[in-house]
Amino acid sequence: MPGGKAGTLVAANALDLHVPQGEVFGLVGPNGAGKTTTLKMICGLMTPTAGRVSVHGVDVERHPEEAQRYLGYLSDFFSLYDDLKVWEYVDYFARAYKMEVAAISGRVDEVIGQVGLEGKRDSFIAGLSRGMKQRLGIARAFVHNPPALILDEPASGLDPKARHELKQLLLKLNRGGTTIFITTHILSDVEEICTSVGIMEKGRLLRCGPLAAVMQESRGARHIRVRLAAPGFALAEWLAAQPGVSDVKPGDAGAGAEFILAGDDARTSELLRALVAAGAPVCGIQESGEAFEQLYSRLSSGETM
Amino acid sequence: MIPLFSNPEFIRNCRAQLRPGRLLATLVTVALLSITIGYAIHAGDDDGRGEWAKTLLVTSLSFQLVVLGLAGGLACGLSIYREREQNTFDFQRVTRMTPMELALGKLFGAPLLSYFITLCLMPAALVGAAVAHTPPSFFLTSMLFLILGCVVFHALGLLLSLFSPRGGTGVPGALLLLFLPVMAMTGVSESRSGVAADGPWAGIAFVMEGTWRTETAVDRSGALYTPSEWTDLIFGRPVHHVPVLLVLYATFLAWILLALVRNLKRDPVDFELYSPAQSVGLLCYLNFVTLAFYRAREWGPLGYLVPAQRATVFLLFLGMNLVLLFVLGMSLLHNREQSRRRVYERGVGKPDWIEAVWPGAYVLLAAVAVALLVITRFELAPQLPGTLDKGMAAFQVVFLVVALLRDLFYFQWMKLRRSRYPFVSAVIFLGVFYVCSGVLLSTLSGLGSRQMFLLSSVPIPWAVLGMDQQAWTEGGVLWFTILAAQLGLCAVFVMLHRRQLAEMAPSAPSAPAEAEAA
Repeated sequence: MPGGKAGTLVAANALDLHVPQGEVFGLVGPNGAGKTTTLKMICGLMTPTAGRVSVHGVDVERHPEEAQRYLGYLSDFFSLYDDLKVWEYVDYFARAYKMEVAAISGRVDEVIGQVGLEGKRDSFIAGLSRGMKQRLGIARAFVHNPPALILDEPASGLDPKARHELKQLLLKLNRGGTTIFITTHILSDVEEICTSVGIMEKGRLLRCGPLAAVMQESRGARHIRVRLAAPGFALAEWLAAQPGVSDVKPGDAGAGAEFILAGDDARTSELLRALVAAGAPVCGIQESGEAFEQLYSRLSSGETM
Repeated sequence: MIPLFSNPEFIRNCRAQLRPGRLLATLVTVALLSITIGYAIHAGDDDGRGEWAKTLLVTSLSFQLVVLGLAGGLACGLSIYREREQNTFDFQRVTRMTPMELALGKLFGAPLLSYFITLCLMPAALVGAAVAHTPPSFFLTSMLFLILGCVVFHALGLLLSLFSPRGGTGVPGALLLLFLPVMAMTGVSESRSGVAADGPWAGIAFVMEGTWRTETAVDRSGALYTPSEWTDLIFGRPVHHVPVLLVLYATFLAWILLALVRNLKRDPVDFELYSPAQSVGLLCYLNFVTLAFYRAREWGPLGYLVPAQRATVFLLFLGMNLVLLFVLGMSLLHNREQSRRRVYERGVGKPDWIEAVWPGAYVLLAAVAVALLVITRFELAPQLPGTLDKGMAAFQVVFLVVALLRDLFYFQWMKLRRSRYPFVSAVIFLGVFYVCSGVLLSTLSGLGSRQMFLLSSVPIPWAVLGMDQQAWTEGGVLWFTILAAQLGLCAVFVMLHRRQLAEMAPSAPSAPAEAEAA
């Protein structure tokens, strides 16, 4: 999908993205990064200037109605038909996605149950709370049981409880085999539910892949903390003299230190062996992990700003 | 395709609009109104000849027309616009409904409440028809006119709704403005054209004064004419007005639906009313209809209609087609996104000339097609009096088409410029240019009339419509110099357009990038 442009602004540029089946893919980036444009191109709501989008092997631009069979979409800002009842709304989209007429009634009730709106089945949408409407929107998106769900900021504006319920629902759907493509500003959610991730800024994809791999690949340096059994060894001085070690901070009343090590696992192991051989009574070592949030802010500010 | 009664959009509208409580309230209100109006009409019938029944019938049909036409038209005019404002329209675009299914669901679904009110008014209309001994065929034909005419109006409302910009509130007003001429058209009687009343009100006229007979007569100049409004002349042959009107409604509905269906699920950036081939087809169709019904008549010195002069007919069709060609050309102009996509499709390198002269080729094709149609029609009708200098006529056509292309190339270039409202700027600049040219030329009226005529044709090309034989002969080779000047201006705008396209073209990959890709 190499590009989509609006006016003079390049909203998504040279985008080459493949999301395997069964993944929960999180696309993150600041406002205006091109996330929504990307999602709209995937759903066929926008046509890329050049390149193509295919879902389940179906070209979205050439066979839009066929591609929609495999897609469920929820946009960030949306309304529902307030003059319909909850079941009528879900029923409308079940028909619009051309489900078997005989199966629609059962599926409508099943979907309403899955999003926890059984008690509101016959209520008018106008009377639902924000969280309920959000859940109904998701129900609409997966009523036709699509293999892929495309959700644009689904958790925005929800209270913590509703957000938690939403995450549980998405995980449940994913366990059932649904691929989920989600954009969000809530980075802790990405770590919690996403199996792969893409970081986007100014229309370009900075990093993309399985979450663990992205974290590992992006980790230029390791934050390591060493603890000694007793003070007496000049740990800070010894570390400062080692190649690849920087930012050494003594701690634990002379019985420990924190430092940054440039290198991979082998280099860490080598350094530890040397430390023990130098006579340091090492009793603990801890690598402090970088949260996705830190990684994201480092990438977005360091590489593109 | 899904049948209408299983169409999800139609069902949604049924559920939303036809709730039992609302239906009951509407039914009771309309019944009370019908009874009150019926009683008032009956009580006012003093002579006891049963005229009240006809009045009741016409009143009921008029109410039905206003409710279905105006209220239904407004419902359609707001339907897509409102969905876009509420961000619900995208969800319909990503469903598996085809554009035709979605369009039909909206066309018949959005005005459902108007249909219900029309149905509630039916008992009053039926009572009037029965008491007035109106033949059932007349009543049914009247209803057919009324419904089909309103459906055309509804489709137009949907199209306006689709093309109305977000945040704009002009759709209801535009529809109201449209409704008035549509209604007014019904009063037009056959004079110049061979077609009678053609608005939905024709249905009411038919139930009152219609006939199934076709009638023709010969006027004092020996030409065939139709004394009855229910007889049309197509290429000089009498045909009953009812099938003519039904065919006209159906074809116009088809054209509107075509535009609706090809754009309904598109990204608004890619909106294109018709494809170039369809636009040429529409232009030919409009000319065909005009030519079929056109009766070249004008008021003679003795106060009755006489055959029009050949030159008058030529100028009429030339003027009409220039307007249509301009509209066609404007509807084909590309915006930046469309141009960029085409440039990307053609790949790296300078944009080719075919793209740079857009939409010139289609406008020329349309001009040739229309010219052939018009020439064929009038060459086969040698009864037109007067003479027409073919050389001058050909020059006028070529000159005006080139001038039209000049303006279209200008608009196409301006539309690709980087500014907030490039097209609006282009319209304003051209408007200012024409106004200034007009003012300036009027102050130079001290020049001789021949020089003025030639001079004014450069900035204001349509001045050549007023060219006569003397001006043509006296101008001589100078006319071709002016034509060359217009062509030169066309070339300038094409070059500017090409430069804009070149800026959009994807740049060639650099050598290191190519190596990396390899």
